[in-house]
Amino acid sequence: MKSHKSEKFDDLVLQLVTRSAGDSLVALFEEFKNNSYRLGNQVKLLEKLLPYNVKDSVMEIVKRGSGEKMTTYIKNRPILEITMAFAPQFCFLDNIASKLYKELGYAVLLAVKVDPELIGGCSLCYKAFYRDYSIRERLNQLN
Amino acid sequence: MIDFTIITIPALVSSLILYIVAIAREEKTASALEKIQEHAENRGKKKLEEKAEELAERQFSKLLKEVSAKLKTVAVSSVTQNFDLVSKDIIKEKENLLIKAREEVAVYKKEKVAEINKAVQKAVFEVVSNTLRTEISHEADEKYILSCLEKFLHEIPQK
Repeated sequence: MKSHKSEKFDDLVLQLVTRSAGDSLVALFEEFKNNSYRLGNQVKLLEKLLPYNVKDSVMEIVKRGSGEKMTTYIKNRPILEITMAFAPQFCFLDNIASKLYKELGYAVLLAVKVDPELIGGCSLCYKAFYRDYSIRERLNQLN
Repeated sequence: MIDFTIITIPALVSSLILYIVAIAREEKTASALEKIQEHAENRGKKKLEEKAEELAERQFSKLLKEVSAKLKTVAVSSVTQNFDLVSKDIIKEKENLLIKAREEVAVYKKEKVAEINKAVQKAVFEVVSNTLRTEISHEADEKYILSCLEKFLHEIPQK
């Protein structure tokens, strides 16, 4: 059974979707925290800098005083590396992240790579478990 | 009466003379004979020596011929033997070279065939991949990726 806080954080992670977005948020929060002593209206500044899709969630967490826990949670998220032949749209990545959450029961961040050599399909790597489902691999197997 | 003295003395004298002459002749003859004998001996010796020399020479040349003939045989057989050995070596070397050459040709053939196959595969791969790149739509690819993800999640050993 997941705790209420974890669920809140998972919602945030699901909004972040990618590892780069997670890293950016953690970096921004660290920067905000480190410089807070010389920034007057730091909460407003943070709100200004946050991406629009996660702004509300993050601000709620920060106001609740769980910012530190949030960054730790984001840092510890498992990563699914996905390589595709084309640059995906955000909604498609969001679809993948939701599917993963549904199947695994916890939020996972995506490390997205683009390699046109794959032709189509994708290669996936999760906790050192790797599978290549690309069209290139299928063609190689035919050879 | 016949004066025998008159007859005897001259006869005696003449006989004496004759005797002396005969002796002288005899002496002369003897020395001449001696000389002749010596000469003959010398000549005979010389001739014998010559003959012996000739004979020795003949013998020597005969011996020389025999020896040279023997030497020739030995030399020829030795050369033949050596030639046989050398020819055996050459044949062996030739066989080794042939084996090596055949092996190299086989390897070369294999490499060439592999190279050609690779080039053909590459060309086919290129054509097929280019066709697929243009034919596969993003929507179809996204659907395929989602099905791959499902497969992947089922294959993960421990979730």
